Amino acid sequence: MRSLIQFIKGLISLFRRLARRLMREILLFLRALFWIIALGGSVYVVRVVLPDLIKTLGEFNQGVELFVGLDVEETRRVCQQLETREEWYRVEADSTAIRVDEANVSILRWEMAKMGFPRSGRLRYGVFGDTTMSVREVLSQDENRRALQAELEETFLTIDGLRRVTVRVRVPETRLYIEEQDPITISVVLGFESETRWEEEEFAAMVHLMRVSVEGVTEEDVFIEDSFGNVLSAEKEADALEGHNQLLLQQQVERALERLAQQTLGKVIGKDRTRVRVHAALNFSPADSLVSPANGHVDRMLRGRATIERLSVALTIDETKVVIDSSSGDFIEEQRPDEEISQLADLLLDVVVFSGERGDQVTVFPMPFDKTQELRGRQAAEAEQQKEFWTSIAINTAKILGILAALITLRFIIQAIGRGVGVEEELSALKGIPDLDEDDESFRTRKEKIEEEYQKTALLTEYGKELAAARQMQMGLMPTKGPRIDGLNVAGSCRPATHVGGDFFQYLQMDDSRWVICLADVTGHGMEAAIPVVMFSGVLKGLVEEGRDMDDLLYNLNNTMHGSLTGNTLTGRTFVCFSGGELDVPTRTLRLSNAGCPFPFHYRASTRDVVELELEGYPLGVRPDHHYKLLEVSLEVGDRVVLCTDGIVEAEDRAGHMFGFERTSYAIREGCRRGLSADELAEFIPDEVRSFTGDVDQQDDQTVVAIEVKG
Amino acid sequence: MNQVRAQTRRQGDTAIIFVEGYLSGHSAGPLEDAFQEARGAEKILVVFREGDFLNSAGLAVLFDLILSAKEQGKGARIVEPSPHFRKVFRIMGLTEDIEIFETEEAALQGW
Repeated sequence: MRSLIQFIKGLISLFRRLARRLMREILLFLRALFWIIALGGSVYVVRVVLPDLIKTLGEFNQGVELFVGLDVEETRRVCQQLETREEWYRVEADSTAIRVDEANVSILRWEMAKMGFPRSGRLRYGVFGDTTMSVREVLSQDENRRALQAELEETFLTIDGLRRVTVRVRVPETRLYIEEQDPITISVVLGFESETRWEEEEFAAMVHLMRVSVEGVTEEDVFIEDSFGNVLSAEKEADALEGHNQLLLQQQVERALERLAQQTLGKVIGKDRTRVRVHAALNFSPADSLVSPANGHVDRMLRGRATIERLSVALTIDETKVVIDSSSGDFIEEQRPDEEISQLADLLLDVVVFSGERGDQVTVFPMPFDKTQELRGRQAAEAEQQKEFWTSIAINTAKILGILAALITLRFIIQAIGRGVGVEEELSALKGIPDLDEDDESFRTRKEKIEEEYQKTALLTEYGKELAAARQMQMGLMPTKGPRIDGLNVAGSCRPATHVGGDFFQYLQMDDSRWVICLADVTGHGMEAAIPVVMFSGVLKGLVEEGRDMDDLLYNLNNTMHGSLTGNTLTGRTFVCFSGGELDVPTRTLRLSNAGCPFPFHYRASTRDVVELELEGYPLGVRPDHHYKLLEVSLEVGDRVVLCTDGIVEAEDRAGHMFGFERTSYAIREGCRRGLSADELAEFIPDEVRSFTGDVDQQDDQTVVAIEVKG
Repeated sequence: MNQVRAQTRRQGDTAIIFVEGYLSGHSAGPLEDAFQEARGAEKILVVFREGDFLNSAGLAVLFDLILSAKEQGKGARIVEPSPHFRKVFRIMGLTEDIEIFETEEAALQGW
């Protein structure tokens, strides 16, 4: 018996030695891990961070141009002003340009403009660079014009008291004779903070800055108005002002019709297969004319100020198309049938609301578009695109899974050490009790109990930490601030439940004028939801970057989700509820679609009421090859559209009553009637839910996205 | 609260599954068992009670079970007395394929 006890004691001692050795090994492993991370971090700092820092410092020291083309006398006077203000500056060797700290350049230009500087020189913006082209040639290109507009807006946004600045540079078509040439004009729309009042000095400074920003622009060519349409710049001849506004309206109507026609035809035969050019003659005395038929968007744009007198539309259409040869399976080029061309022309007539009585003209030019490159590259490009798309998803998913695995492993190791040390310490304390024998039965029972408790606590802590890490990762997928969109305010909020849910929202830019604004709710909670959220977010981004329209986007998202989520043992029956819209900024049109989320809510400023936009549809991933309904909503000033997840409508109070659809609709209506902005609404609605549920634990994520048309 | 009971009653060629409780992704086992039990029936009627709750993961399970039954050529209907969840079923597109009724009697009538 005694020898058996000795044997057991020996065995325990052996285990202890082994445990200590194991702990030493683990510590060695952790040290090695630390050095690997430290070494990797150092390489990153040397290869990436330092060069960036050096570049930034270099740029800072050089400064940026405040003014260029100054005469010597004005250079001296500007320098005097800068010295008085104790600003850092540098004069170029030929004394014609002054550079200042980049952080202060906008405000300095503004302050100097108020004093009338520069008189001899001007401002030089990036778009003009060192090009030999004329200003008109540079600004005739859309991207240059937009870049200049953005630079000018940025300059003025630094001015105190301005909430919003919109700059539009208009470059009329080039005429053969210079004397017939219309000037370049600049329109500025200012949104002031409520207590800001500008004096003549400020308006004069703004006109001056515009004039010196674009060569050839005179004070007469700068138009400033506030966001209510009040003209603020120095009084101009009534005719000139009216002419300016009429030209702007005509241009807007033409671009809107071209865009609509191009988009509609593009959906039928694909992008870049047609070119549409519209010339709209407008009648600005609608009282004298009969009602003229017009497209709904255009009619709203005209707002009774004008009617369409006549439309001339030119449609250039690709007379051949690329099809798959049924025998070889290759892409081949074949003639587009006359009947198809004629049907497309008819479609165009419908879009622009053609009127023969009005004398409208449509000319169709079928011609072969060059597709040599396309035919050659199409197959390769498609394969490449697919490869890139899936590689990107795979890489992102692998990254996230890798991080999760690393986190879990690291925490497990640290926890194991902590657990071991804790148990050892407690056991030592127990051993310290004089009447306790290590071989005693009660000692062993207590030892097992302590170990069991430690294990449970450690596991719970571990699980809690994993969930916290997953939640942080999920929150990191969402934008922290709204996008900068002309005339619109977009905001979102996501309040996660006490455990990880599957909500997220996103704003993604499709092109210069379109955005996808959306939210999604992946079914389930915890890790089973967190991983599909990451995957869905990646797929969504990939498809938007590919330039998919809303209907195409939903169709593809659904099929991808169906293929990836169903039958997956990790995610089980995971579906994705999705609600979102393609926002066309110039026409303020929202093309909404919904896959299982609560119907989008539309507050109409004209009726001061909320309607639910009834768009039913299966959550993504339920049924493959499903076509989702689309609803096009025209937004007016003061309108708001609110999207939310079921965590809002299904929040329950202590008695088990749901917040429900009606309370949600009521909260939105009240918020909008109080004039809450999109940012405020995105917080107000979950706040109302919280007031309703009181101290009951939040069971599901609550996500809201609001879109507001600013006045 | 996070428990579900599902009982099946046969009535001719119809299996009527009575559901009680909070249907979530984790509590759906009894409902799956009930569908398994009903596999010989031509028609399946799922009956929820007023006060039952379905979260989104529970709905996903219900969708899967009921659409699979439909794909196997079975008739399927749902009784849902709660206006809230009838609206949820509509929002989620289920009413495109499945008829939803307020009462068991109405669902069985003329089926």
